[in-house]
Amino acid sequence: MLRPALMRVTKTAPVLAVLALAALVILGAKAHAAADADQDAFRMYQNSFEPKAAFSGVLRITGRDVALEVEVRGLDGMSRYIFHSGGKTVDVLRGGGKIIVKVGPRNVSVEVPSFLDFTDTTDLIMRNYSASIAGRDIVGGRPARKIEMTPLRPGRPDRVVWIDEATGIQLRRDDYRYDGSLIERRELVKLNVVATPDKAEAERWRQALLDPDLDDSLAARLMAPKFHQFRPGPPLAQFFPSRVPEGYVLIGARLAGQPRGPVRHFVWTDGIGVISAFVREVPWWARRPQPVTVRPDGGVELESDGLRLLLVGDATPEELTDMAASFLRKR
Amino acid sequence: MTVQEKGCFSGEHPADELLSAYADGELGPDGMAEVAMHLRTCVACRRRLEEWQRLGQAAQAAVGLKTWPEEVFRRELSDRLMAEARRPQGRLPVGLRPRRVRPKSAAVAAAIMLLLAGAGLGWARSSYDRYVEQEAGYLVREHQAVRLGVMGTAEFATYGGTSGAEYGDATHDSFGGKQ
Repeated sequence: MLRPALMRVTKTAPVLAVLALAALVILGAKAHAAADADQDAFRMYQNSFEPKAAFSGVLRITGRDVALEVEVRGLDGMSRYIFHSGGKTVDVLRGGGKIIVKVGPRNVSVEVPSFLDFTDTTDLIMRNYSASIAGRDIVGGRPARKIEMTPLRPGRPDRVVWIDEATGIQLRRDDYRYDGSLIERRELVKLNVVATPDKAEAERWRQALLDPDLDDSLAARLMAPKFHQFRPGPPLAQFFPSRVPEGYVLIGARLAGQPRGPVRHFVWTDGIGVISAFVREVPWWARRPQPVTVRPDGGVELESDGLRLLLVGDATPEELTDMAASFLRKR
Repeated sequence: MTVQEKGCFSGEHPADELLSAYADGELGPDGMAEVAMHLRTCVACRRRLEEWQRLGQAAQAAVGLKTWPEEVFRRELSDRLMAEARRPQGRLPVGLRPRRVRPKSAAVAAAIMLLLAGAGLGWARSSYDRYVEQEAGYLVREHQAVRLGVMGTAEFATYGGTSGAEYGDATHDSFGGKQ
């Protein structure tokens, strides 16, 4: 009885092993292909911020409380954004990992890439999101590749990007909250692709980026990508959370001057999502401890230990609550 | 004081100084008796004395002062001092008596002060709360500006002590240095 059964096993074992090996190979190949597809999607996304094509157009930014139109021009991998803010013309030139901001006729800031625009956070995005090419679409009459970035953790935003097939220009970008509501849409309208780029103009831009000739060092007043840069300055580190939502890293800190005393402002990002924490010290006579309350916009407020906190951003109220509760006054 | 010290009679009549001392009671018993004896028989000196006394009263009435002979004054002073000594300790004449702070009125004043301080604090707190509430809306917009990537530009209008006017506003066609 035992012998025939043993013989059957010895006959089928090689077959089973071969089948298992084949399955592993197929799965591995699929995973590899998926990873390659992810890489392709990420690469396409990253390149869309510095397309080689020369173009001009209008970037229309809309959101729940936002409506802004920005004149945009692209030239040899560099981009220039011109818009009006506070009655002033703001001119932003970006290229080669540098950013120059001009307000009126003066150069005022340089090299704050991760703050002014999160284009350098691709690594962060790759850590916290999966990317996939989700097919083709027509945007503004032009064929485009649709790329979807899906968060690896719940409670984070989704990003969908449409990239022009012919030029690699980013035609549209939508960010959605975890509940599906639109956070922000950027759409390039009135796109005009220039067949013959102005080489002299490109050279002027390049020189401006290489030698920004700053009028003043207001860069120090802006958000800095590295928190430690602020250590010698205002005592920002005196108040800090011990817990932040997973995947988020601190990218900026500033002391915002407000009429009733300064407010410390910290910014974290996971590549796409952004969280802001505003910390205000409350004078003794106005202290009124209050538990965490969730705001209609999903942010949370809390007053404890003489600190008033406001946290808003792309995380669930539970995560923001947990983060707020971990804000401790360091003595 | 004797009649000799004040000057004697000039002829039959006492000298002015002597008569004045008599009127003020400043002479000794003998001097007083001597001048009084003269006055009983001398109509002219009696009139002179009456005239002085009338003038003296008129002067007192005019200046509101009471002039007393020294002994009278001392007696009066002594009486008053004794009266003061008999008065309960610390009690001053009504006109000079300071207003006493009664416990009840002190409590009322303290309560009013507390009420005022409380009201002031309450007002300051509610004003602060209103401000912070309004500020929250502003801060949320700052967060949105960060998200948009235009925070750096928004900064100039709101922070850093740099007014936008300092930068002016110019149309510039290209980068490539200051214009």
